[in-house]
Amino acid sequence: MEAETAKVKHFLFVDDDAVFLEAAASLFREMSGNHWEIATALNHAQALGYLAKGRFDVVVLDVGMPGVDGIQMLRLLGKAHPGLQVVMLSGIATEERRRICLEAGALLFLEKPSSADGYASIFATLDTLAETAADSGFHGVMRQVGLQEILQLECLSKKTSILEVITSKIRARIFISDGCIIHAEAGTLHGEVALYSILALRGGQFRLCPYSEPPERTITGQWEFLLMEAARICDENAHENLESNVGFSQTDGIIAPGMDATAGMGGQRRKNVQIEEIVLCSGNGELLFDSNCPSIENRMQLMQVLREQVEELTGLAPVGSFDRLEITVPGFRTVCQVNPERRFLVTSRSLGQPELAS
Amino acid sequence: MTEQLNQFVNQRLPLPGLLAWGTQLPDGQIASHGYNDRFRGSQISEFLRSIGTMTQALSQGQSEPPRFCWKFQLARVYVATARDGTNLALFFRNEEKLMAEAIASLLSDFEQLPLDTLA
Repeated sequence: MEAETAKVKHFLFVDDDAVFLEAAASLFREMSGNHWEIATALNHAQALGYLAKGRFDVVVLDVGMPGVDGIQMLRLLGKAHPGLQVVMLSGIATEERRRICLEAGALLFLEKPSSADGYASIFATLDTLAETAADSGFHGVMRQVGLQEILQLECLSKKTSILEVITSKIRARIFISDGCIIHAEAGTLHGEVALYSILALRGGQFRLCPYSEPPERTITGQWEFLLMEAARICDENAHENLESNVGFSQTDGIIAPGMDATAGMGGQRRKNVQIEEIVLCSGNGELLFDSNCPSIENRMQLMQVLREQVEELTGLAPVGSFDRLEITVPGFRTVCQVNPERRFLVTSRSLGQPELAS
Repeated sequence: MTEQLNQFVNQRLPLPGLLAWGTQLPDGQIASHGYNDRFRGSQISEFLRSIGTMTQALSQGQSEPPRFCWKFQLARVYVATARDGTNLALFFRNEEKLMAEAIASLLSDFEQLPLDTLA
């Protein structure tokens, strides 16, 4: 075990920013206790030179470089060095860039760190990746890139595949057909409960496998709604104590129009919640879906204002990127998310006092 | 900021994980304080001014003012409104182990502050 921890890991960082390269390499060497051997290249030519001479566990590419940029280099590496683990770093981490990079074969797409915590997080991610032997097919480690993002990409791209998740305790699978999540299984759980349980996992490994027909089709909901609910449940479970006491209700069991997912996460407190309205818009504000919304115009306007407000707010204080706004009045709660890809609003109503799940 | 409001805030804050706080009176007057070098008073004031407009808009027509939680990657901002329309914003680190009961108690007490405390 000790020998394994002491194993030297080999990284190649490619970035036209010499200052960043020097700082990152020094810091990561220090953080690794000199167990990281880091080569740095300022352009694709230097990088290819290193790759021709030595073996690297992980290559970290800057997206924005003059000449041959990171994405072109990524595609080049996919042909010249198939199986090489490549992580993309970008100072401008847009969803579009992320999608392009992941589709081009990057294992992860990460935002360039701007704080000590950011460097620590990237270090932990890369360190874990370097320990993972490259298998055939796509695989990853659930740290910076979550399962939700992988699922979202699969669904947006209308893929047909099986997302397999393995932890020390369970092996779980999510079946995706033509961009729709149609089945999930995790241990003895099936359907939406299994999906939410899988997406609540905090660590493990995943890989995308060739599709085979599931034993049954247990999920019919729209993937956007499913992922949003999973995110909400996951978040609320994580912050259960805080939110139940600060006025943001806990939600383990959900009842939505046409949806029965009251089983929740086994063994936890359970409280039924009725979904009152759902509005889903594209990133540009075009209405994609609504359910029971009493005033679409009002809601779309709210999301538009929120979108503008968020841009302003994130520039005013070092709070990081926007996640969501929760608005609570007694008995009701509205969650609103806006990002370049989607705008989403869901209002839920509490149906009673919490009770212990059986 | 009134002396009474100042007293309320000083008696109840800081709490563990608190990065900064700010208050905005109905007349727009703002007071703020940062406990972290990265959260300066002027930043908090601008932030509060910005969310204050939305808070006011979303509170209109409600029998009770809503409570807001703005969740960001690094921080979460709780916003509560007192009966006279004064807003209180608490900027916490975005971490799981916050003083939930203390935050809830503070927000609730703020919402229920007697009007003569704020005037």
